[in-house]
Formats: sequence, structure tokens, C-alpha cells
Amino acid sequence: MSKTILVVDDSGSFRTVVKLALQKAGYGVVEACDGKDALTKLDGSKVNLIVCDVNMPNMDGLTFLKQVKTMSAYKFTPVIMLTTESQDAKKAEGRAAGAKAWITKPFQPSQLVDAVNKLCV
Amino acid sequence: MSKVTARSALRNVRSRLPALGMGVALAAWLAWQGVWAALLMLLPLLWLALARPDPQGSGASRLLPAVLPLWSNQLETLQTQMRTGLDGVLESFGRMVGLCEALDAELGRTGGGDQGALRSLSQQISTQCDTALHGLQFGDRVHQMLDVVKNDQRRLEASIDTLSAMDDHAVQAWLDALRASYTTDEQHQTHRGEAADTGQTSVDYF
Repeated sequence: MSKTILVVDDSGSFRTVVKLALQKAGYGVVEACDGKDALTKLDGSKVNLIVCDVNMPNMDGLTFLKQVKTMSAYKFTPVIMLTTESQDAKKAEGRAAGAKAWITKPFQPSQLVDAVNKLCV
Repeated sequence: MSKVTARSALRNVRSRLPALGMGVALAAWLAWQGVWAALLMLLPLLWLALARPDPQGSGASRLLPAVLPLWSNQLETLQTQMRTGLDGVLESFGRMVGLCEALDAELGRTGGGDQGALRSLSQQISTQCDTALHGLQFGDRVHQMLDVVKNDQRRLEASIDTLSAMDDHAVQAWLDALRASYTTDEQHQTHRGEAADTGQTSVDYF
């Protein structure tokens, strides 16, 4: 059975790009359009890893990450931030909140797949 | 008189009130002192102050409210068209990836023909797919950058009435807010007047 990755991004086209890259590598993908939507997807079902954008409406990625870390079922689920943000201060914020990796967009599919392979539980 | 013209005229009068007030006060004082000759010399100056076109009330305050929404609409249309094109390419691309996987599966199943050559072709297609997936992300990036420009245009449009009162500090605060909305290195580089890097991927593990 393939492992499931939750992809959180407010851009539908970007989610499709990530989904294609991950499906090509054999992963199953669940999509969410922002942090709030993503929280509804964490309903007890198995999620092996989360790939999350930072700047999103309703609930941004860092707020979502902090929420995930308070959920007993998902607090050990690795989270990769995939974002256009490349400022060190933002990265430090992500690291402090519990992110395992920070990838800047536009990403190389092989780099994303490498990171997912490495961190996926 | 249109609403914009009336507003502009009102702004003209309002902006000259302090100068007019001083002029009238000086004229009254001179008249009180009986310096009628000086008062006569002052009158043409008062007339010049009234007749001089106010730079804030002239073209800029009429043109900007008309032009900025047009640019916003043009950008909106550009984004919609780009998004439509990108969605189409992505849908087609998704099918191509599926076809490549099906080709691989078929090669594994049949095992016939020149398998080495076919596998090499399949690998080349896969590499091209990865390159395309990287390239397709730029549409989303452009969309995001245009969003920032559109928001700044709306902000400028909303502050037209207060532009004439902006001092250096207020201008700097406006530019700082503009810079704070950037999310990509390219936006910061462009803001600084540098050549924009096309965006290199970086991966940091924590």
C-alpha cells in the first residue's frame, strides 16, 4: 500500500504539480487548499507526511504546523514546508515550530521526492 | 461637473486656504493701517495665488483614479488567461505522466522487442517530465507576483486623496509596507533594482 502525503497549498495548479511529482514516485496524495482545510483532513486517517505552503488564506502554513504539533495523532508526522519564502527569519520560525525541511519554490521534483523519501514515516 | 472634477476643485480650494487666509489677513491689516497703495500691489499677488494651477489638483488626482483600476483589471485578465492556459497544460501533462507509467508497465509485462532502447526512451521522457514540472511552477509564481502588484495598486488608489500630505516618512512607510508583501527573492531583487534571479531551489533539513 502506498504511503499518503497531505499536500497543503492554496494554488490548485501548484497542488497538481506536487501531486504529479509524488504520484510519479509512487505516493498517494490528499489535497487541502489551506491550513484550515488541512486540519479537517487530519481526521484520524493515516498521513505519513505533510507538504505545506507558508502563505495561504484562512490559516497560513506556520499556524497550521503549530496546530499539528498539538494533535496527539499527528505530532510526529514529519512536515516539509514548500514555499516561495526564502528569508532566514521565516525558516527559523518554521524550524522552531517543528518543520523537518524547508524547500523553496520552484522545486526540482527529484529534490522533493528525495526529501519525502528521506523523511516519510 | 463630474464627481471627480468636483472633488478635485474642492481639494484645490482646501489646499489654498492657508495661503488665502494669510493674504486676506495681511490685506485687512494693510487696509487698517491705511496703506492702500501696498494693498493694491498685494491684490495681483492674491489673484496669482488663486489662478496658479495646483499640481495635486490638476492631472494626477484625476488621472490616477481612472488609470489604476484599468491596470488592475488588465492584470486580473492576464492572470485569468494564464491560469486557464496553465490548467490546460497541467491536465494534459498529468495524462502524459500516466501514459509513461502505462508504457513502463507494458514494457515490463511484454518483455519483447528492443527493451533496452525502449527503457532508455522511457527514462528520457521521465526526465523531460521532471523538467516540465519545474517549469510549470513559474506560472504560479508569476500569478503570485501579479497579486502583489494588484494589491499595491489598490492601496495606492485608496490613498490618492492623502498623497499630497505625505512627507518623506510616510513615503518610506508606504514603500516598507510594499516590501513586506514580497515573498520571493526575485521581488526583493527587483525592488532593489538588481537583476532578478530566476529562482534556484534550496533544500534545508532541520
